[in-house]
Amino acid sequence: MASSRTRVLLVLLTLSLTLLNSGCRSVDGTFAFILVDEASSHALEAAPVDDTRTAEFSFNPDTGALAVSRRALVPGPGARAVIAYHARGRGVTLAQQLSSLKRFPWVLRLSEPLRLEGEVRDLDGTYLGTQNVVNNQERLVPFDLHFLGLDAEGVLRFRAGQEEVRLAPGESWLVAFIREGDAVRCLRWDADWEAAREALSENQPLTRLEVIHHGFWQRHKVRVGTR
Amino acid sequence: MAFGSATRYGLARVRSRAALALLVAVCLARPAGAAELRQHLPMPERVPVVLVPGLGGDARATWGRPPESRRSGTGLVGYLVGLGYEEGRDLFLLDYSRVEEPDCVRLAACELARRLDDVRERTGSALVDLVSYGYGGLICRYYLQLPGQAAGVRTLVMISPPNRGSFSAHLLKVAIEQARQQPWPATPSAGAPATAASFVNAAAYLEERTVAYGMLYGEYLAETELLGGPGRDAQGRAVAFAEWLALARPELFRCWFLEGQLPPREPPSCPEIPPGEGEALTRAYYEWLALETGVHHYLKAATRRTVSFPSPPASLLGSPDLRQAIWEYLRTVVLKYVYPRAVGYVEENWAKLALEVLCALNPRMTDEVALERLVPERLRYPAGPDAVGRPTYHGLVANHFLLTWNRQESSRVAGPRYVVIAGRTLNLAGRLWRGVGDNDLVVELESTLVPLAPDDCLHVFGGLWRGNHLALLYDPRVHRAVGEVLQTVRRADHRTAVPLRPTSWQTHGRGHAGAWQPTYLRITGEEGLDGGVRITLTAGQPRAATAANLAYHAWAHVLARDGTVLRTQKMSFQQRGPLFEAELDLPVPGTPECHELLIGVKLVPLPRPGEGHAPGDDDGVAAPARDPWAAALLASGGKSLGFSYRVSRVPFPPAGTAGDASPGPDTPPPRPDDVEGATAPGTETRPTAEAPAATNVRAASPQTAQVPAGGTVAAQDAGATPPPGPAGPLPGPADTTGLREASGTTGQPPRIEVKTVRKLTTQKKESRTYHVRWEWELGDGRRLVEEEAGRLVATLTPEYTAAGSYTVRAFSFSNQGQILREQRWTLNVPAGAGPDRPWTGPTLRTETIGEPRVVVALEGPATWVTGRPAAFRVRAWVDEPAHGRIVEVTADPGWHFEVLWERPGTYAVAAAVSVKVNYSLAGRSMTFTNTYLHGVKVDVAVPAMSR
Repeated sequence: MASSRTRVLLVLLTLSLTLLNSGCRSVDGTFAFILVDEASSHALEAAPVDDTRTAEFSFNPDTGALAVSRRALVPGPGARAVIAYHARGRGVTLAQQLSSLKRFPWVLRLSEPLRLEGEVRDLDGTYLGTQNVVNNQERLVPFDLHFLGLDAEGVLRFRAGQEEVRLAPGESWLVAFIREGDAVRCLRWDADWEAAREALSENQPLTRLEVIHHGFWQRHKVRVGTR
Repeated sequence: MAFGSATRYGLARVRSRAALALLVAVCLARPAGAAELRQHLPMPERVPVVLVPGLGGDARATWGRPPESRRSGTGLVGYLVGLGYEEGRDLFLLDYSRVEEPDCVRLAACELARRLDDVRERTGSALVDLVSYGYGGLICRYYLQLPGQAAGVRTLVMISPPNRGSFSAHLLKVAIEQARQQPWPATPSAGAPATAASFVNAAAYLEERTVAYGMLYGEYLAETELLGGPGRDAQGRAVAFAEWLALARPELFRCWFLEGQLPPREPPSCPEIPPGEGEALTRAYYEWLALETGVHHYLKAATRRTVSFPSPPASLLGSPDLRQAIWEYLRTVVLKYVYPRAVGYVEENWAKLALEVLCALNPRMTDEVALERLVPERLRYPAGPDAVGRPTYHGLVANHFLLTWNRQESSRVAGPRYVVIAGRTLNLAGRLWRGVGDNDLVVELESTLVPLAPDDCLHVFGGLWRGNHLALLYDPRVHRAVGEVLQTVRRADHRTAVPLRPTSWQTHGRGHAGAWQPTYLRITGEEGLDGGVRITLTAGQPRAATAANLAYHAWAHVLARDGTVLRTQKMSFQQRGPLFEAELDLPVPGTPECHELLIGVKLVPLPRPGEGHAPGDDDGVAAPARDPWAAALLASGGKSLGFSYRVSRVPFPPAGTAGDASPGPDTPPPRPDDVEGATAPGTETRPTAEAPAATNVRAASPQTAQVPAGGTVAAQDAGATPPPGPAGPLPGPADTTGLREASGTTGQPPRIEVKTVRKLTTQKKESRTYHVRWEWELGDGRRLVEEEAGRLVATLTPEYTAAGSYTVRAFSFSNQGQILREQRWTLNVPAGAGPDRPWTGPTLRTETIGEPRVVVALEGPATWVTGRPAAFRVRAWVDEPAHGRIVEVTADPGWHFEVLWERPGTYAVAAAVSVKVNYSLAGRSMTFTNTYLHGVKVDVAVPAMSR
């Protein structure tokens, strides 16, 4: 049986390895702020009457200020990254989610159906009652985002489908999805964007997905309260 | 479906629910009304009053007798007449119903300006009081912003003004939502007379743009939300629709779209208004509305869906339990079709009904007018590109007057006193209409709030219905409140041009202290006041439930005839048994200049433990709107407790001396030339076993020595080290004669936000260096100490009884025990000196550095309110000390600074003045920096009152 001293050493060694393995640590109350923005042309099924819902979060990328609607959303002292997910359809916010990550990997489940209950009316003023305004079938992103890690230089690694993407602070990754038959085709910003325009001009559903690495923000600039 | 039948259907449900709600509410309602203020206020010579009616401008309809349907009584005009006012003499009514476009705030304000000029000319009074109702409050506020007009108004009483929009806006928001589904123009409801549009062809204008903007909005979404490049713009944010229009469709972005964003300009000559200016403001509003409507039209078109009648399932007829299957099907029809349509229909028509009611009450109110004036929607207007071509924008409310005014008022430090009267009512409609809460009826409490200055106040009246916007106008409580306000002079009315008629002494009386506004007792002397006054206040114990967070505060002002405040002193309450008592002996100047006393009493809600705060919106991130006055008002609930007072004359010594209840000024440090000169040789230095001749000389040892004549003297100086400093006594207000005032550059005054009483406004500590004692070493073991602070020159005539060479040293010690100066002499005592023949040496003289005389004053308010920055000014007077030169005088936190308190309480505000002095003495140079603190206490309260 190992002596107590040996056990202590083993524990310390394990902790050290864990810390080393976790890569970049948050230093001095900073965290990487990552925005995942999903916009779908056809995901809004009905027009809500009241579009004054309280946002979960809002931010100013110029100043690195982040405001959250509840204290529970404030990144804790050990948070290394904050993933802000924003889904919209025809200018209406369908979902917002703010996640503080202390460790990687972590999955943002874009495939999970969204639900936004709201009172809706039709064009002729007919009151449609309260219903879910999100048509999840028209949200075309076919995969979840797996966030793999954040290295010492702040480069974010994540996997989108079969592709592994590396984003340095200030960089963004942009794709769109359209239907081709029964399949979903991924369009790249730098190569396939004309196809995206054509699809939209023909009133075909299109979903845009962008991941933006807004760099390292300071925890003390996080406020509780959004509008 | 005929609206009439739908209305009856809706009304029937409304009536039954209303009856039930009334029954419950009656059981739960607290007794309405507030305890009346029973005190005899002296009757000042009247300032003329002008009554400004609400929307529509019909004076008689607003201020006359109430309609038959309401309780009998008299309107405000009748009440004021009963108080002694007379129409045409000191009571005037403004009627602007015949002004072209009476709902244009500018035209109505110009009409008001004309009327007030008339009144001043007729009455000879430089000042007038204004009392407004509803929309009239906005007209008055707009008028006060015209240049030069505010000085002529003493008090503005606003009854239920929509300073932040009104619930009509809430109702109308729903109506707008409906309107967004419908093509414009909005159809006037049956029964309401046709009214003129706010500008010509407003409806057609909007309809035309709604269609165009709807299509454009689709393009905007496609180009920005879906097809834009990485980050869309440099900041990764989507461009707003209006911005995109300006950039992508400039031909649609007409210049008059921007015209309406301008703040109200002063009319070049009132009452003339340049043609088209009012219309530009209205157009801008409708342009925004078109944008918003277009947005929703697009959304509706893109997401069109109707509630379809659910078809029966194919398996219905083949179901083994047909009855159950049919029952399930019918249940689905009811839940998914009938119920949503029925509820939607009722809600839709309830909004229409409410609008009809409002229109019936005021035939001139139309959708367009109400939309233009009352909807507090916030929007962003493009402001054109910046230098590098990026679009810029600024935020405006649809009625941007409200935002602009309220923002300007937040920094108001002068101008008329505002008295806002608001209602709080149990809203029965809230029981029937989802989304409508308590206090949401027409123009209720939250919408009346406007930033208030320290002398302003807010009266809140409640009740089942009486706190309603419409009912307030005829509420006798409101009439009494208005009457009291008009007859009460505020604390320091610097612009009183009409001398107050003196009345006899009030020796005793009763009052009520509220939690919001101080209750003022006004005591006037017939021939002026002189001598002394004793004021005794006795108050009841706050109730147990409130004792933890309410405390009495009182203070007394001595006013001169012109209303300026000669003196202010705080009164402290002591608990004596079940009562709280405060007594103040107040000296007043011994001249007829002093005219009256104003004694203020209030209950101060103290900060509650664990109270959080809302973040600010710095860094450009939006924060939730938080109104400190509303929060405090609603939290406290308006406690009011009675007190009694007694005032008597007491013989008083001259002002500023004994008997003064306030701490007297500290004795200032003596001037260098006050220091006593050298004493006669020998008297203070002859060491004997007896008590020394001079009381301030202490023999260090009983040994004696004498210096025979003829000895030589050699003086040497030694260095001194600058000491660090523990605090010394605080300088207080003192005579500044002969001192020069120091000043510094101000720039933007720093603002200090205070959340707790522990917050320090300056981190500097008091630190002074000054001479406190001389010590002499005579070289033969004897040591003499002279302890007299401020005596900068010391002399010594030593005596020795033995021959020899003696080194005499003089040390100047500072208050911190450091040596400021050391000087040496060598005395050669010739042979022959002895006990029976002591040798007397020459008189040795030395001097040390002196402290500069510094007087610090901190000017600022002694009472203030939460949520508004109070300005403070530091003043310092200094003079050059002996052997010193003032190098620099600085103030911390600054020569001017502001303090912003978040919570009520008593706070200390302190400032520090640092004086850097360079001394040069006997070829040596030393630099010391002395820091002087001065502090004041400030009572901070919330600026409102409830009954």
